[in-house]
Amino acid sequence: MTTESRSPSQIVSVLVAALVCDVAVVDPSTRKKNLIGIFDRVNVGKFPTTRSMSLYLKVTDAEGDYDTEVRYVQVGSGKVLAQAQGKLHSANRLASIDLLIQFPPLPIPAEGRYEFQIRANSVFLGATFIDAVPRRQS
Amino acid sequence: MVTKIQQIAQPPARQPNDVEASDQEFREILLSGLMPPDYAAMDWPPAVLDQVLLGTVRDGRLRVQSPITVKFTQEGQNIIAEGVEFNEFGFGENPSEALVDLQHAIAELYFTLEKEHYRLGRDLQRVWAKLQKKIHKL
Repeated sequence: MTTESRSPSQIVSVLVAALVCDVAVVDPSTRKKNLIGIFDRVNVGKFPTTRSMSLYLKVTDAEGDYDTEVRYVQVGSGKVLAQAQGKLHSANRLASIDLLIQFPPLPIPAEGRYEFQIRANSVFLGATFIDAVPRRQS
Repeated sequence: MVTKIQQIAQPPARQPNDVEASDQEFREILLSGLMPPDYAAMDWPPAVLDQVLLGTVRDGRLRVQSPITVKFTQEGQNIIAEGVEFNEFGFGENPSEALVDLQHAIAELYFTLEKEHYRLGRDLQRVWAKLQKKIHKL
């Protein structure tokens, strides 16, 4: 039995989209991805709290193998609160890769900005954010 | 604690013309940093961010061909992001802000040097040569 080991691609891919939403599902018949409740702001009654979120990513101009990492970071403190890792492979630079990451409830310790930072083969491709704000009392 | 969660189901058997589906091989996602139920209130250790390989300059006209090395330093309350190869700096209250500032600075530097390239001194010629090696104009 041989073990195939492929070296990470040197091509820097381009992050086309990164969206945070409530629910992300794949239609089993068409394989199309459906994003429900896209948001970039969370109204919080009381800190700290947690919230389930899904992240949709789309990358293009990629060829070869990529060790992909998504870090959920509290921007103000720079603390990495959660991390997702996986492998991506693209055979064609002209094609695009998209994927869904369904996170379990993520911590929101305090008011402020939280980023999902995307890296492929340790190269920072971009980020998307959510702002956690206190819910206004009426 | 590391929790493994299932990645989206793999597409059905490859169809000859289904390029997009065949290019996806995101196998698994590992989530780390997910703590016990009271984790939202926990005191998270500070993240040490000293270096990033930058794969984008946030400008649709420019494409990073080869990752740009960015070093972070703290000066008082501010964070400084340094584009080492270009001796360019970005400033902010946190690493994310400093990185965005640096990205804008690098893009601005590119277009300034491109415009003035015929009358650059030796040092700036070197910077321009490095920029052209690292960044491709679309």
